[in-house]
Amino acid sequence: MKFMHISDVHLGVMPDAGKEWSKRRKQDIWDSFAEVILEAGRQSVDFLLISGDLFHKQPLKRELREVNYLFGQIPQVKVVLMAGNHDYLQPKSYYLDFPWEENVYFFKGEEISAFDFPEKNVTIYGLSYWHQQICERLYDEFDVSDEKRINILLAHGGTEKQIPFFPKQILEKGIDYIAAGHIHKAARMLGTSAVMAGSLEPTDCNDTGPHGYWIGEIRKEGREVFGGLDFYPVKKCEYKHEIFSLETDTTQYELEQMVKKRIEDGEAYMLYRIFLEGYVNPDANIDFSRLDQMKQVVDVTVNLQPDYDYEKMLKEHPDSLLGRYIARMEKQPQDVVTMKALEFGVNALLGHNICR
Amino acid sequence: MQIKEAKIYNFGKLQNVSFRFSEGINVIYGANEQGKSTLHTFLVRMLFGMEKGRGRAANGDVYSKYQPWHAPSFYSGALRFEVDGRPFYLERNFYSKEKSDYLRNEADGEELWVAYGDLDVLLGGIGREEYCNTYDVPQSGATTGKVMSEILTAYLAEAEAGGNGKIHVGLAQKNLTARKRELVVEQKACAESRERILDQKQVELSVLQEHAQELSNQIQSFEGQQRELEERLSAQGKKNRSSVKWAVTIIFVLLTLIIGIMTYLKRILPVPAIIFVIIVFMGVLYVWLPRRNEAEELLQYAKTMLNQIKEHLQEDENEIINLQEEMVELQKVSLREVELQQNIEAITLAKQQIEDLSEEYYMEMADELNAEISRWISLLTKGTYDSARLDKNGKLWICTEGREVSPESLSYGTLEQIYLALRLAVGSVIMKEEDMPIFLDETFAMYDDARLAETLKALAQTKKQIFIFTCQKRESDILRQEAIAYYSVNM
Repeated sequence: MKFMHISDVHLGVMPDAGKEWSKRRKQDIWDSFAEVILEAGRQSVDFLLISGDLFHKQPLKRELREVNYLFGQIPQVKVVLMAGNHDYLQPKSYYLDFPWEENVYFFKGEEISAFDFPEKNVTIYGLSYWHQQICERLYDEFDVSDEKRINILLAHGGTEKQIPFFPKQILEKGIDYIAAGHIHKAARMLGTSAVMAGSLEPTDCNDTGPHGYWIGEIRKEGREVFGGLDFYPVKKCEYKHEIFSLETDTTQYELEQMVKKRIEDGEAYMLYRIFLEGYVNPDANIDFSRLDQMKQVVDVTVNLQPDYDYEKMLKEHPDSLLGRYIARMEKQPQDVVTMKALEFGVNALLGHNICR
Repeated sequence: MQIKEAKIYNFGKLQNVSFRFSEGINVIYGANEQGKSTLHTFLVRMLFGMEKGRGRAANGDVYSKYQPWHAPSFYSGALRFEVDGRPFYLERNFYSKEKSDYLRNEADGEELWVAYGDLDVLLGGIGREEYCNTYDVPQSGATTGKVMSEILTAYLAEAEAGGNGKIHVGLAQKNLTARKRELVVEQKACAESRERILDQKQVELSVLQEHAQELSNQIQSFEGQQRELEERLSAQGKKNRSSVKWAVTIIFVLLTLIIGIMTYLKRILPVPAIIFVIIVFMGVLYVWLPRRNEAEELLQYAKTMLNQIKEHLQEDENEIINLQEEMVELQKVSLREVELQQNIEAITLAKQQIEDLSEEYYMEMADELNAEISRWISLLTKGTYDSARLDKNGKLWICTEGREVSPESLSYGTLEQIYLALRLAVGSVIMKEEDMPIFLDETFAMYDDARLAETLKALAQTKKQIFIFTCQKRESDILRQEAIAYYSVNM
């Protein structure tokens, strides 16, 4: 039995609001989905498993029609899907009475049910979200009915508020493959038998790393399971978080060239979040907004400390206002605000820029 | 600081003269019009510089007063002095069109730059105004507590912090306030832009909700119509069934029987009989066959409409849910807003702490200052008055016989001494960084001999470099009498 496993496509999401590529990315996500479905047809898989959050929000009827049309293009592939916490089933959801193509199997219940495919010796278990949050451990509450079948669980969640579960416990029930979704980073949870598919495309600038789909094969002889599994990246967009360490003598152009170089070294489809760390000369007045405006840059986070040696200042001027200020602020309970106040106050006393 | 030598190339009435000075007391003696005040002004201006006033202000200002008549472009001189035992050489040309200065460390020959504040550092950060109000004592040295407290405040506001350059407390406070205002504006803008989007979504939402409501109303009215039509149809159906249809059928059965009997009896020919029966049968069929009447068509229409509207409503309802979820997301504050809030709180805290500290600092300084004033008053009045304090509003109070009196109620001579004490006290507080020389220009004209003797003794005890400019022999005589070492300069 050969299958393709995808998840968290989030059709309809528009990432990086306000950036010039935002609209293009929304379309890219639709396109990737369509392409992957055709790929499933080309690879002649038996099953296409979609582990929830196919849509970013409640799907509209025309959107379901689009998706259904695409599924109709691969009639030989059985498409099994569920609603996740984003496109959860509310009483008016179009999912509930949508007339799917014959090859589409949609889990409607909030309790686990199964689709049985005797001709392929496969049973697929699953449910759909009826709420945005489900803290109950719903995947602990079922049993496999026939251990000779290839048993698959289509699951979504695994976090505290979205049906927590331990893959190992579920596999012990006689499940042969957990097709999980929800977490956007693709990962093998347990060898080839439990996979968090990750989102097909990154849907947020914090979805770093590669994204794509999985193709696997499972054979079962008696109770012996054999199989293979591979990950195939979709290279339309990849987010990278790049950290740059600044020295006190780093200049504006030096920094810009460092960033530019790092971007040029990467692929054209990559988008970057820039993090600046280290110490900076409080007199330097680097204009970080110029980085913000560079191509392929999503945003810039500045976590720079002015290179003050408070202890030295304190030692050198214990009785001056500056020394007294440092001493007093260091005595305060140390939290974000008091630490910032120390920095801003010293900046102000020394006549530097106070804060960004 | 010790001034060692002054070389005047051209300044007021003095040309190409040089003077040497000693540490301790220097008595510069000369008759009137000999250039004592010119020398005094030269020394002060060499240290603190001189600018030409502009426009009307130039008339009678110091620059014009001492501008050389014959060689205005050669308005210059030089000074040798020591700071912490290190010798320095300073040369200035005051001529406004060719202003220049040259400063050098004579020990290692290193050239320093007046323009970059090297001289300011040597002067311990003291400005001309502060200096003129304290250690530079003129003939009638009356000064007010108010001026002194202003100098102190200004000093505090610009208290120096050694190697770190100047600390501007006042400026720091101003900058903190300004930055906070900017951040609050940005914070408001963030909140407002969110509000604006939320408002837009709210409008979209209410349009959708209104539309959905309208659709529900339509559904209700179509359902009403449908019920009504169904009732009407079923009523019609009953009526048909009960009366006409059955009557027609019975008549048909009877007629068929009659015709059958009559045909059997050969009263009627079979062909017309069959034709007749067929006609009647068709009549019955007509009655029994279901017919689409107007009501039924309406019912059908109502049903189709109802389905369509229900579908629209479902679409609306899904979009409403999506909008509502989007709005919940939008209500969350952004990371930048969280950061802004923290920064605003931090600035508020920093400002508050700096304010508290500078007040604390001022109070401490006030204690130190009052001790210093009291010490000087006690010294100068030989214990007649032993304590004084400058209150928060800058008013000076003298303690005598257990009560505080205003200095104005004291004798003129005493008042002069008290003001001198105040100048010296404030000077010693603000000139902690660098001990500057004291200039006394005809300060003691109104002192009686006994007071002058006490004052000179007290001054000698300070070990500071002191310049006494006088047109009388009195100071020298008393110094000799009291066996106080002094250096004499004759103009």
